[in-house]
Amino acid sequence: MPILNHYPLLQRVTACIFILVLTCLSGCARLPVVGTLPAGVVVTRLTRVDPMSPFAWNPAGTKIALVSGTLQIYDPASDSSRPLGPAPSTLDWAFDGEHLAAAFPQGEDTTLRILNMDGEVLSEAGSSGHVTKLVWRSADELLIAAITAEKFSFGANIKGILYRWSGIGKPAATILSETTVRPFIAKWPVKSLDHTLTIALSPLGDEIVFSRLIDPPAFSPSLKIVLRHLESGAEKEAAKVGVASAGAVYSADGERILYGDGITASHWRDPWGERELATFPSPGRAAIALSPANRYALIDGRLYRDGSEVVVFPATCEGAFAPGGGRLLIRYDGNLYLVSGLHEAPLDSALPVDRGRLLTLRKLRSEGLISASDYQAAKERMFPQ
Amino acid sequence: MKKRIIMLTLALGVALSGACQATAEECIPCHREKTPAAVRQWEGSAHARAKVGCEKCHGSDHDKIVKGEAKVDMKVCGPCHQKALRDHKASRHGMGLHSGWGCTRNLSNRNPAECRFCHEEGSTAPLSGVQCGRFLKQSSEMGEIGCNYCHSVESSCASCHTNHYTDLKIVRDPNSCAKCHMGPDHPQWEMWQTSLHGTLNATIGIAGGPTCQTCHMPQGSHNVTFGITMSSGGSPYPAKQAEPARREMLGICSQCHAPEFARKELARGDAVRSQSLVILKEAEKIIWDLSDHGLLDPMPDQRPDHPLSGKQLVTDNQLLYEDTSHIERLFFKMKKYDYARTIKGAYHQNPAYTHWYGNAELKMDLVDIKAEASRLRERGGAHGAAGAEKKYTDPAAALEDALRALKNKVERGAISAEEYAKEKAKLLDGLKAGGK
Repeated sequence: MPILNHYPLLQRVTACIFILVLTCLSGCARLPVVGTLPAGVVVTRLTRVDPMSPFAWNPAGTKIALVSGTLQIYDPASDSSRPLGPAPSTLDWAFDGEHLAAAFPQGEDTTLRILNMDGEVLSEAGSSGHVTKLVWRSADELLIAAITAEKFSFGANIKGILYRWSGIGKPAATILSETTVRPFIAKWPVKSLDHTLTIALSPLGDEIVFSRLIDPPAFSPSLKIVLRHLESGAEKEAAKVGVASAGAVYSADGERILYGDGITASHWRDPWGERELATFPSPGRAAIALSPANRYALIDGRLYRDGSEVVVFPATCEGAFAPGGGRLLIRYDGNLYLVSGLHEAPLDSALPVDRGRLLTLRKLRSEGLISASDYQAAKERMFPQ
Repeated sequence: MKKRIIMLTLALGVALSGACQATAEECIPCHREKTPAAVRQWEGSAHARAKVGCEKCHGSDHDKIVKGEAKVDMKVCGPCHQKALRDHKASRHGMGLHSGWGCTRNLSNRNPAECRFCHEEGSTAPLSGVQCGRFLKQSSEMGEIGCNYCHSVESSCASCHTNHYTDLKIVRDPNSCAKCHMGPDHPQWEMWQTSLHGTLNATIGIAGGPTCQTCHMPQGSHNVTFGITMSSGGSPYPAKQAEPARREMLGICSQCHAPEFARKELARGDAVRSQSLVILKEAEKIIWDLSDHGLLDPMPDQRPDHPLSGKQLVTDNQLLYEDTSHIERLFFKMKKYDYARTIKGAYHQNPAYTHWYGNAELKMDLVDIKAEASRLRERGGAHGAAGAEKKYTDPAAALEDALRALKNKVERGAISAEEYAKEKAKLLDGLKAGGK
């Protein structure tokens, strides 16, 4: 129970027993909670889902794509589901909310599909390896992270690949990482190997932050958290973390990242200013969920508000905040729950005219043509608060 | 008793010296058939007269000699010719003209036999500190005949003296210098030959006109750098080094000429050198500017690595004439041939080499380089016209290009950190004012 690591032993044991008792009493249909939910915050069980299956809010925050035997579109308002087709391993909504991109494992490889709301396949392509993440970059482009493992007697060659796919023709591949690992890593379960490649797209769509597996012969394997500008290919290493880390996510303004070190804590970091901004006592072994304005963070089952822990859910649960804020989906033990009543001021969005110049500045910074302080000064001049 | 010991020692000495002589005699009958020229040359040499036999230089390991592993280099000659070796080592001939360093062991088509160009057998230490990118681009065969036949002068007396002759007539003849000091890069022999010095020498003899050796190896010195005021690449030495050297050369000239006349002649050479260097630097600046903007075609990162500097642009003495862009190839000719001919022509008092083969070519090179630079700028880089169009109609791309050029400049020390910060801020202000 890494979630409870920072509690004294007696409290840890008590909390575990409490969670166990609650789980037994609820007949697996209630989300165990340690702590008191803030006033107005309500947890509701929505529906059953497959364990470890993907789920995602649509952009309007009105429907949920989930997997319960098959891929389904669930409407929480009416508590009704519409089946869409076979179960994918990962999925993402298009910006228009009318299409879904999904990845379907086919042995060692994966089939990518774009579906409409009737479950019709509008486009299809193959990609090598297991797809670990799939995200729409724009209305016309999908980013797909995939991992391949070629095994040898002396270990394995593990490749992290970024595919860019417009939905037409073959996806274009870029190698993000290529690591020769020792035999004991080559024998890891597929899920554990897949866990070593995570990506997140910056809110401005210009960068990704991904994890790169390294396996130096005389040391323990680890991951590097790397930022990569998608147009220039310029990269910047932001941190080194344990292999249990579930990677990083971007802040709402795309200037900071939050990542788990996989060992003791999660960290808010300004990767360009190379400054640690805050830490949370959760190692970030499960994918981190951040609320739209970043007031809330769900890390390893712990819900934080303004940097302080609010309530503890089981460490293995995964979450997704609704795009409009205020609500959090949690998948735990074959059920999907809705945590509502999470108050958060809406985020100011940048004007489109500013966006182009901001993207230019960010690109220049990523290529090392301007320093972090040049960037900050220019940004302040361009966008006075 | 004492007498007996002396007699015994003398007898032993005679016996041993007889044994040594016998060694040379042992080789001769066979080698008179196998290598008749070598035997003939040795028999007429000062070495034979001094009873310096085969074994003294070649050793007694016949297998090693047959394999070509018993080279007679400076270490063999040095113990007997100490002053010559000392002078030679202090001179440019002895200071690392060997074209080795920069190991070829990782080159895919490298011939292991070429190790000996740079290393003593069994040693990983290079023989000299000199690096040569051009040498490292060549095949073993080309490296041997095209490079080291001249550059082996660093460690081989035979490079000038030949293998078995010892007649000083050979090395006192300018032809022995011409083997290397001719051709497009530094035609000192042709310059001398067609100068007044050469003409007088050819017609009247040594009393009328000096040879190479008269001025550069005075009184039989092996220090050929005597009186030289610039590097082999034509970069003037700092005053501290140049002034004493100039005094040395004036001393030589003054043996025939009025000192003031000699001073003026050499000062005129200095002026030509300075003027030519300005022209050369202008061309070099154009190339670096193109590189800063990524406009060379191909850029260093788009062509095979330079053997010594990898993907870095090179315009110093290590510049190549192959695997390079056209404009760099023009610069190679400008620097290695035309700049060298202009300044060396001036110092050797040869009007045609100074002007037509030198100065005129140098200036036409600059015209060519400027024209090629314009073409590259219009074209907008190695990625072709489509890329260029995109590059210059997109203000963000133009800004990026300008910042990249600026960064390249500060990284290679062409501008200061302060200038860089100022220019960068100016460019970023442009983005605020109206860029994308």
